[in-house]
Amino acid sequence: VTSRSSFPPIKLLVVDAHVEERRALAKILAPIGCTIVGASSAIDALRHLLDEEFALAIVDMQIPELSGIDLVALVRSRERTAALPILLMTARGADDTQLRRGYRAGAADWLVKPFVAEVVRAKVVVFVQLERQRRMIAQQAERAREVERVELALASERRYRGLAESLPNIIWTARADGEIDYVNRRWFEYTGLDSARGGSWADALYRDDREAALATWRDAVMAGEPRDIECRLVGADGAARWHLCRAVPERSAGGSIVGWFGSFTDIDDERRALASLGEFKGTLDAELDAVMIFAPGDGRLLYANRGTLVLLGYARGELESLRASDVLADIDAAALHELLAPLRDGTRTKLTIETTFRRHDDREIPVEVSLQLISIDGARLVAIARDITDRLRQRRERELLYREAVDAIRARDEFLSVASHELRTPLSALQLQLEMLLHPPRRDPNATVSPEQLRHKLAIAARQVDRLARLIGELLDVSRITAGRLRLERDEADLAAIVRGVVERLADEAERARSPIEVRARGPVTGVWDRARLAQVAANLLSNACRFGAGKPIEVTVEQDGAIARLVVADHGIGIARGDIERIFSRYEQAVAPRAYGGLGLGLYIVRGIVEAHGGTIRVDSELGAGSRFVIELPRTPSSEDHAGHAPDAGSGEEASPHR
Amino acid sequence: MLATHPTPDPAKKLLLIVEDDPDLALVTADVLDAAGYDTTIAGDGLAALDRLRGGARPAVILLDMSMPVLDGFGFRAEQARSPEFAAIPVIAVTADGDARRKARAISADGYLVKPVSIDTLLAEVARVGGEP
Repeated sequence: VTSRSSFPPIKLLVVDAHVEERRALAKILAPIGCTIVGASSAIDALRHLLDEEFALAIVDMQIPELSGIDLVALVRSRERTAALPILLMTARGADDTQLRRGYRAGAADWLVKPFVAEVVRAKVVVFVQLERQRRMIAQQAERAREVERVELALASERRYRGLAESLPNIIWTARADGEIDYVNRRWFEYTGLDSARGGSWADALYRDDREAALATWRDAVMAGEPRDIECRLVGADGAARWHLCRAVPERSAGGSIVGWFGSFTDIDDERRALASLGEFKGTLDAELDAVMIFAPGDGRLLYANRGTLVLLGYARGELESLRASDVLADIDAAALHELLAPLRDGTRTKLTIETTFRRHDDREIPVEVSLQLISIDGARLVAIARDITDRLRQRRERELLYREAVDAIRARDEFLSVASHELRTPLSALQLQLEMLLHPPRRDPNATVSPEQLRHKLAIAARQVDRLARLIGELLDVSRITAGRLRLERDEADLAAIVRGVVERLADEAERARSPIEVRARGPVTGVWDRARLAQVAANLLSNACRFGAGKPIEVTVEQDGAIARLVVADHGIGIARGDIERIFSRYEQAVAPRAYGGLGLGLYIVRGIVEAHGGTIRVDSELGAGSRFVIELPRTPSSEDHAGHAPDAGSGEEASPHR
Repeated sequence: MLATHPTPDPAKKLLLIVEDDPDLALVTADVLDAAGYDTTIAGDGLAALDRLRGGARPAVILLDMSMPVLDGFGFRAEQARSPEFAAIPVIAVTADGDARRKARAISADGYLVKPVSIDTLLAEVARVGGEP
């Protein structure tokens, strides 16, 4: 019999009230090589049986507290000990009834006293062998299970590694202390790092993200809790891509952390997409343009940005049932369908139209709309609309400005033509007249000129010079007024007296025009004015009245209205069409056809310039055919803002006031 | 001044001066009279047409382009419509630098630019209408 040192010793329990008997039996059993545990009573035996494993119990029939048979029954009845083989001991001569009871209670066999050592050993050895075999089998089963477990673990590890290696994600594991002990192939592929060359895995972290990522990782290890870390990993190509690093602790059955499992997932595209989506949406919403996406079939609005709400004046919820035809004021569904034909057949990729949108409040706004068919889960009509109210207004303004510029150029050219004519006509007369005096034509070599004829010719020549001087004066005045350099020689003056003087001077002209001039002035109307310039104003208005007065009487009124002096020149002539009233005060303009009445057409421009230089106003009430009424109002004393500031005696206004 | 020419002299070539400025019209007539022409003056295009319809057949018409009532352009249009005097040669008289173009525009036979000197005036009249 051999015992394997790997096994704990096989124990035999000997239950006998007498210590000599127990010793005797132990002596007999010693060669078997088992540990003999003695018990002196049933209670003692039960205590050993509960605490220890025995290969066999040898129980005397006569023990205290319980009979041997009762103990056998009790042992059998307990689950833990039910399988324990029991040998009962009895004295020689025991009756059959007792033996049968013993077997019935579960005893395996009987040992009869006094013992025959070989018989006892032979009987006990059977049970020891049995225990040895049981133990062997148990051990083998355990070994087999262990092998299987190892095999399974290895297989799982292989599978796991294989899986890890083949995953597109980077997989890593770390020890409980956070030291990385495994990274899969993908890591090396991605980072271009060499497992043989070593180096820290942290080298692959993008510099800017490294510190934060490592801090989070240390924190995860410290707290023993899973963490997600977003950081950029530098690839073999040097490009840094965003990764989501997920670290999860692995726990033992007991709950303690035995390691870490982790992964890096490339989220760069998603992140970029999110960013650009955010940017896109942000762009669309930040865009003042209205971006709308319609279903091309029924024209249902599928998407609208914030610009649309602003442009169309809808609230977000109100757009849902909207159709393209609700928005387009001038284009119905059929027209839209036709309009989109070039997009559908691919001859055009984009259409830009100017049209009108109808807002929620029914107001119509001009828009420029670019239309494109694109494919976002099915064909979609993308419309980007921009309010072009401002652009149209600017265009109109530009056109107006252009027309005005063209008109101004035309007016200037016309003026130059008129001015040229007006200047050259007297010049021509003057030249011919003087040449006639100096070098008369050859056919009349001996013709003499009487002193009277000479005086007459010189008078005509002088008249041309006057005309030229007056025209040149007008041109210079216009130039001064335009440049804002009209200087006033202000002095105490009586407007009524000035007007009377002018009327006197124009008596001939008025007579020729057959328009008598009536002056209505109650008394002096004084102010601090440029006397000569106001005379020019009165002469101009009265001269116009004669020219356009159609031979009807002309009334001139001079009156004082508090701090204001008023001059009114009214005729009953041809009048001015309503549409021309604006123009008559501008440069180069005559409401009537050029040349019909002669003159440069600068008169009223100069009049207005002089009046305004005095801080006054001029207006005209007129109707075509009903005559004209020019009303000039002048402040009697200059205000500091007037052009009068240029006048050398600007301060005399205050002195003048008491003299009224 | 007109009094010096109470009746047209049939031996002299008649010139029709169409000019709205009386001073210039008179002095022009003076010059041409002195040169040996007979002259008559019309103050605008309409007056000139009246003169022609009244039977006047000048050798040359001196036509100011810029006149009230009926200007040079209007006069030419009317003149062209009358077979009796459509062929009378015309010298356009203008004040601006565009005289040549204006003259061509009305198919004038000659042109003069104000201010006109006596020599130029006589030369152009002689060229278009012949010596007096």
